[in-house]
Amino acid sequence: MFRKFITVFSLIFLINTSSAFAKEINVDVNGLVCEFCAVTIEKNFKKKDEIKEVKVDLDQKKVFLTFKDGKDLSDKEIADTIKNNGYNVVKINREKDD
Amino acid sequence: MKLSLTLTILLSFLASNVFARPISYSGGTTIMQNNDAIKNSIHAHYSPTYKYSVGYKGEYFRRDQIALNGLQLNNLLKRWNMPGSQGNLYLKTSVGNANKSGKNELYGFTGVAGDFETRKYFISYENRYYKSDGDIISQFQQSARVGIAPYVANYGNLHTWLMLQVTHTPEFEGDEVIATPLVRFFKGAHLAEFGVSSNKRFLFNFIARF
Repeated sequence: MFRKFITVFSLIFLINTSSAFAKEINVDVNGLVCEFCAVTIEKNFKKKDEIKEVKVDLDQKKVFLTFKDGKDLSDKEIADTIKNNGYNVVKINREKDD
Repeated sequence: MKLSLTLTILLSFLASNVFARPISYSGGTTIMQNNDAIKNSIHAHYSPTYKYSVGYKGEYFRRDQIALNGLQLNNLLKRWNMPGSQGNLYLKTSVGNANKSGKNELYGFTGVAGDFETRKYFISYENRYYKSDGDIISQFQQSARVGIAPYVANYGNLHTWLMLQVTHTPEFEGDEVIATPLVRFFKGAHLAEFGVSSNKRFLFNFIARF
């Protein structure tokens, strides 16, 4: 019984830690003032295989990127994607890395 | 040519807004509709990059019954990105066919457009000069807008703007200056505007980006 409990507990722990450590990056962007600016950024990051989720926060003037397991984009790729759509990157913040 | 005129009028009731950005994101397609106090127009364009777009432009001037069908190129001359605000300067040019009462002429227009917005305030100006190679059209037009958002919404929510549009067309005797208060609703890739002009014409604009 105790072994079963340990096995189940370990599995849950592994699943949780795996998603908890998914790579997340947030980017400070200048020029994010309207709904359409956000759509532009979101659509273009969603085209990339490495990206699991994109969130744009107009209040914070930030783009939040979550990567698929084991995937990443370099700072240059992130900056180019934003710049090539007409916006300026102020700072790329890598908060949680594997 | 009758077909062309009919097509322009029909399409015009679907769609170009001179006060929205005429360029989409890289690889984006846009349909813009404008029905205001003077004309109905539609602009369907494709943006290879965020710096320019190219597409079909159809316009129908109701008072003079002039139909224009052309190819339009929009260039972003300059963009200013600041924390919490953005400014843009565009050049718009078009060439095509002008039709009036079965008569056809080559026409073109060119003009500049500029806008500046924060999440609370909006201001824009645009001018353009139309000229055909005969006497169908020779017209200058300029418009300006100011707007305020009664509340500031984040991405994904409904954005609402209260705006005032003023259009100046010196050739339109009696209607040289037309003011149109309007309300703009903006959510995701869709924008719609409703208003009534000082010469009692309904304004309806719609934009969808794909």
